[in-house]
Amino acid sequence: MTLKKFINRILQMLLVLLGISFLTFMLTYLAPGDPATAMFSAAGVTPKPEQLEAVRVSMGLDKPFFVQYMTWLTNCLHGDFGTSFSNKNLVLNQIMGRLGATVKLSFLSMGIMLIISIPLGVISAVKENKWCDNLIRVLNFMGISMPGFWLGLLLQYVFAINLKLLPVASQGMGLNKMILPSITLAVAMTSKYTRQVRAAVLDELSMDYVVGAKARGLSNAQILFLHVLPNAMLPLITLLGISFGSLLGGTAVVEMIFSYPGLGELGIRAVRGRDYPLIQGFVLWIALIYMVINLIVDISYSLFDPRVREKRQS
Amino acid sequence: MKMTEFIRQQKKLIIFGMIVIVIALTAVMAPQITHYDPVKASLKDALQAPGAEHLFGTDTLGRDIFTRVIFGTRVSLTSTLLLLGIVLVTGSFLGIIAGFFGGFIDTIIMRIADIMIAFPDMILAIAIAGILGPNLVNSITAIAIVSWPRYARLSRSLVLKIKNRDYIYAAYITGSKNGYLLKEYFLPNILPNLIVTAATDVGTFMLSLASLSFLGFGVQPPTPEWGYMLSEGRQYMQAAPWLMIFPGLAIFIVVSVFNLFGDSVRDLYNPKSTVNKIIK
Repeated sequence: MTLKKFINRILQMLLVLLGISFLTFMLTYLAPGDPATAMFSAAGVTPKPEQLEAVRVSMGLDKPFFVQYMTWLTNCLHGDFGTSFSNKNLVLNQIMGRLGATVKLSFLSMGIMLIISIPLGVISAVKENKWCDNLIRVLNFMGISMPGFWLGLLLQYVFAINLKLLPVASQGMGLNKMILPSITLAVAMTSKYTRQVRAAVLDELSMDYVVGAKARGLSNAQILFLHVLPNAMLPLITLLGISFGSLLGGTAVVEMIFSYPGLGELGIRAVRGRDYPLIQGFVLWIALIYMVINLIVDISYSLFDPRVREKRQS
Repeated sequence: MKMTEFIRQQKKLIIFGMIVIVIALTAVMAPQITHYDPVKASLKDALQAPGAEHLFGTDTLGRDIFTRVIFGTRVSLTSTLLLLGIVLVTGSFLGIIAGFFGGFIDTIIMRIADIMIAFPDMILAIAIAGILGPNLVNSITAIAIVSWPRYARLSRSLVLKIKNRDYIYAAYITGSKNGYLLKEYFLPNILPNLIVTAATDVGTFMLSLASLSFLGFGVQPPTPEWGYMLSEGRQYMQAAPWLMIFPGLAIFIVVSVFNLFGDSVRDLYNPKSTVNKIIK
């Protein structure tokens, strides 16, 4: 990636971010009733008309839409995402308090996914159309069609309730409490990834350099591990960035099932309680994280791929 | 190609197509398949284990789970098809318009699409469905809002691909109006590809809808819906595991069938695998 392209990319990202912030702000206007009414109902009070009016003025709801958006955006840029309706805590503090847990869970499930899917994908490709390839493909297929929330419940039922091996709900963040949620998250991703690894390895195996290496007398293992695998891994990096997005979406449901104290659980509770500042903060932060990860993936892609790298030097 | 030859070559497509028809018939014929009422409570029958009387057991209100699973097929299929239709029509309409007219319209539509794609799907869908208020229509709307950009991008790229072909120029020079061009030249060219994509997406849409209802942002009780049944059953997991086993199994099986069907539709349209076999 050239410097000019990089700057271009960043500028584009800022534009999209502006759009994201606008959309997030608009979310509040989807709701029946305005934020002032929602604030009272989140607190469980029925306000008198003059109380409602006073809150409206203090929240700036009497101002034109665009002014409201600008005020909100400026506050966000200063790190002020407002205070939660339900418990009057700063939104930013609540999100930061939960962020670590979700990141830990995501990395753990990504680790599990990579450890399982790379070997399976390679075996599947090398033994194409043999019985173990077919078995792996059937398993993959089942993994893709498996609803994550059902898998979570089943794992909970078998390992936590029947066998009593692991805790049912994970109030803390110890490793034993993260096992079931991360496996649940990993399964669907593993299936998709195994498919991709298989396809990528098959692609590379059909290249001329494999024939060349064979002619030079390299062993099959040498060809596979020194030549084919490094090439096959490249396209998978991009996919890793995309999976991170679905992972962030998936964590919400899974965190809720296991009552894992992460960002997703916070977000769902915010949506249920119509806690608008918290919903906005949650959506904005998830989108931000997702964008940054995709940017990192893009940059790392150009670092790993010598073809792209050399273009920059010439 | 003769009919028998087609059947022999497309065994997969025909088998899965038939299972899809069976599922659709299950939805249509639900009242004939079971004689229990899917919504009426009968408290004296509450929480019975699966047996001869109640094949899948009963829930906390004494309703027959088998009946609710069967009736759930209706809700799941109709809402998925509705969602698919909305996304397919709006997404490809916007994409075709963007690709065909280009310029300002293109920029506006595609920048909005970029912004929507910048959110992880489910997160935005959860927020929209939750804020609009939990019901079936709103959950369909929410998923449609986050899903149309993919179809817009696809149809735009398909339009751009054929936009500069000679036959399009020929049609233009001979005086075809824009509407006629779109209807007679572009649509027939890109429609098969869009339909194939839609066929492979049925399972995904079904899962998204079910997870929204599971979270409580979709269908409301007492409507029998698999995702919501799972979240109801969740509280009684220890005492009555059948409450969560059968609805989940239903989702899993139906989604699997639609995924397999979608894959075979794609193979029919784009027989890459057979080409590969010939080369090897």
